[in-house]
Amino acid sequence: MNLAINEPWELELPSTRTVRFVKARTALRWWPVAILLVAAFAAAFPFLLAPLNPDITNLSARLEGPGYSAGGVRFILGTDNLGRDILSRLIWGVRVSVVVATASVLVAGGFGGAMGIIAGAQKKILGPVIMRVADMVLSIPFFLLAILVVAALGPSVRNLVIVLALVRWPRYARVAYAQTIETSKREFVQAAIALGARKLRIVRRHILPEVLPPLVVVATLEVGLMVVYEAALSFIGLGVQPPTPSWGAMLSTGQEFVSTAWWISTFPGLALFLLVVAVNRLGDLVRDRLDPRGH
Amino acid sequence: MIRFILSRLVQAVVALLGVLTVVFFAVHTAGNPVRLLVPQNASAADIARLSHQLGLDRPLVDQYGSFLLNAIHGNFGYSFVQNQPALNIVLSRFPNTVELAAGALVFALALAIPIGILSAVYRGKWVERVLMPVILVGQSMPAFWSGILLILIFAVHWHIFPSSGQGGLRALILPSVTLGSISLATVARMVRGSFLEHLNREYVRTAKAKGASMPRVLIRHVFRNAFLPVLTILGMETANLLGGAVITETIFAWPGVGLLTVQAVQSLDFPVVEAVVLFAATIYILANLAVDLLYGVVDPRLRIQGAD
Repeated sequence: MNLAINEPWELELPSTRTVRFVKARTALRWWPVAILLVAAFAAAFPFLLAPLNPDITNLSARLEGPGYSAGGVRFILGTDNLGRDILSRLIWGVRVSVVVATASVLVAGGFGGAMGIIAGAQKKILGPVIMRVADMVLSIPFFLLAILVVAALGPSVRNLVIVLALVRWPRYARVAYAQTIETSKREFVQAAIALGARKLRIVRRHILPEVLPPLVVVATLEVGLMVVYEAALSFIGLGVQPPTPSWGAMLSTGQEFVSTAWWISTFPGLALFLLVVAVNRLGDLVRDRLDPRGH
Repeated sequence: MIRFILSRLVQAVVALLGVLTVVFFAVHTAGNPVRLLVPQNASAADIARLSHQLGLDRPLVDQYGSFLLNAIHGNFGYSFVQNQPALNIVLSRFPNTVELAAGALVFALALAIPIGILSAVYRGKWVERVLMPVILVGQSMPAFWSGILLILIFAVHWHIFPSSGQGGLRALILPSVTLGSISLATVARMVRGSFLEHLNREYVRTAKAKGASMPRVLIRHVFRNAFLPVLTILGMETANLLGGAVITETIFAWPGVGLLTVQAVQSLDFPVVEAVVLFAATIYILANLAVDLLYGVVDPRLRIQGAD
């Protein structure tokens, strides 16, 4: 891409070194993928990575700093207020973040995308109804709505996914709706209508390929947000329940001991931050790929 | 213009009704709150009596009707925990939330607009390469980590600012930075994205071709167009901030609406939960309504379309 040559008479082959350098630089842009692969591996096989059992408490090793070792056991990132190994809890905690974020994005994106396309294609009655409902959901501050619904349903992984999907689907619906409407006005769709194509065929062949890229972009950007919101709900005690390790809950403990044990909150925060940065960066890369106008 | 305002008003009212409905059913599927009010060893007859007193044994539709009527009058009943009207508790916390929201917004806007414009204009140059990662970091730092870090550095280590509570400008700074940094990233990205989109437009090329200087193109041509979507985001950000910064207020023990929400949910104080969610939603809807109307003023094309 970076070597694009506009005019044939400008043709001048780049040196091998330049090619290698550009290739290496292009490859490095995809570092978020490496972080996400590590996270995915940790989520799938935490028992292979974690040095200790994340739930075993050790009251004689409470609130010990990073690098503490006792009786031949080494706590690389220190221990929490119950003497549990921070590193092991950190590794097991990826699971909740990854599962909840991925599942809620898939549910919200699938449902919201479908709703948006339907609304764009059925402009008479169904469309306005769907979009008004979406507006309504969007008009409630969504963290409050999430708190309300979790409080009503009770906290669990399944309910977290339901709640996050419930509050986030209108975002996808709006994007899909706008894109459907916009695409419907384009010449190729008008031509298809004029040629007598049925609605379902137009949606599948002409609308869907135009709607999917922006939806994917929204979805990749939403994953990061979902990671944060899962952690936030866990932070205020409405997420995954103890003793299941969750970064949000670890941060909450860390806040209590902020003046005596900085490591309890710092490491889960850092992990969360790295995961979210990687997801967001990937989202940007995906957008740049799917939206050639940016180049 | 009047039709445009009216149609937006109707939408706002419908949205509010929807919120009322959602809140009512969410709270009523959460189980019988009476069980939480009575002592553990209360008999079934006691529970039935209290349910009857509170009207919880009436048909759901009946309860819904009276809930709507009461809600319109601002009557959500008495808090289960503090024996005073739920709405009064919410209203007494609101000024604190406004104070925090204002602090956060000032911090965010002062940085976001210049950062956004600069990184759009100098796309691919070092300015963008320095600014965008900073924005990315800001957006990816969840409040409950950045807040704790700020406390760790500025309160525990250096003792410059208080770690929690309200009182004076010094206490306002850490919560404002924590809360504002999220808005900062959102607004800056929006400004950048919107400017980028418009910088490629034909009218910009025309203006440049006619010899207009870059500042002139930005201010006279791009700003008016590119700022519209930013305005929307700004309205939503304000609404979000006013709706109660739940996490930030929890971390800094800031006695606003957000902290109240968490406390009410944890103690299952349903009247307060209802009041707080409805209050926040009303603020949110009104703020968005204001943005829509403002939009109509800025962009006359929308007035005609919106009246359809």
